[in-house]
Amino acid sequence: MGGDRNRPSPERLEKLGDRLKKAQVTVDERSRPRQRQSNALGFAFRITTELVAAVVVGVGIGWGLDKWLDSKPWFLILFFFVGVAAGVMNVYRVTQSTGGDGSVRRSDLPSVKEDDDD
Amino acid sequence: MASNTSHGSEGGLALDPMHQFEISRIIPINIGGLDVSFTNSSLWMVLTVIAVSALLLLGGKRIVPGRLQSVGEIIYEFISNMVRDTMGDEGRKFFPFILTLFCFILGANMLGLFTLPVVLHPFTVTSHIIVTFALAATVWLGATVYGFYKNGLGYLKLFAPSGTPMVMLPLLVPIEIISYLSRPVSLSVRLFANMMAGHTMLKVFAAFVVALGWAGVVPLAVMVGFTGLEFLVAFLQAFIFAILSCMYINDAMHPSH
Repeated sequence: MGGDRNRPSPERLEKLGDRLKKAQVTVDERSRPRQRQSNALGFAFRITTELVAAVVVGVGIGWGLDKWLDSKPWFLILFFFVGVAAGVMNVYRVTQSTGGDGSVRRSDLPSVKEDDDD
Repeated sequence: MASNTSHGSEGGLALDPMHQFEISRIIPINIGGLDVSFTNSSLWMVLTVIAVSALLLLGGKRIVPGRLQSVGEIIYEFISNMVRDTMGDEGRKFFPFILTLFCFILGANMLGLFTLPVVLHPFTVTSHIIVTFALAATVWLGATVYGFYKNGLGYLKLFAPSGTPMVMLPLLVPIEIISYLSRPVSLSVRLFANMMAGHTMLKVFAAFVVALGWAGVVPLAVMVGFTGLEFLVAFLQAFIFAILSCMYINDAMHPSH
């Protein structure tokens, strides 16, 4: 911009860039604590549902298999425990992917994801 | 809701905080024994789509945005950043889907909080698990199909994390599969439970306001706070639904846990 008139000198543009950056930092700073707080609320609920959902699915599969194969309690018992394990795994994943501070935003980008969580 | 709060003082309190979730047919339609009536739920879905479209389309295209346009732009940028953060540049093609999903859920959550007492009984579409489950199942099925389309059978690697000893696989694979199957369940239950619990709580407290007479000022004050909290929850749940959808689609693109 201003290629033909040469009015905004590079120094002035740079100064403007600095000011913009500073303003951006303040804006970020201002919005961060509020966001974290509000995320903590959702985070707690997220963990709960994550745990319960896996158990429900496990029990559902077990119950269905029992009904199908007429093997009353055994698949139910087996898949209940598998479901609990899956639920714990879900919760573990959630805490891993959020850094544990309740922010839902994932810090690891797809490119570095390979060696991050196992 | 109107009968509980505004007209409740006329005696014979109909205290039924669950009444708000009842489905009523507005235009009964029956196709081949299948009940596809236009219900109050359908009506509010349509209203949600209209409200969201109006917000995003009628905002104008000025360089210096007005209020409506600002809201639209904030939503757009917010989701745009979220998509980039969770899925990278590859995820750009899913941006329209995620934006639509977010706007619909946010609109439905928010509209349920506004009330037009006599004209229209407010109804929160997302407080019914069948609605949230349909949304979650769509995301989940879509992500699964896309995962197989993109990676072929390699998508199954998702169930066998790399670096797992062979001995552990028979134990780990069922756990992973259940974990994967539980995704739509947890996604839908979270949204539905939040909306339903919040709305029920509001109605219960609203009944207290009427029942306690003068002392009803106390629950009324609590209600004001809770309503603010409900707006936060409405936004937060839409956000969580959208960001988890992003993560599931991201898993479909990169199935290497």
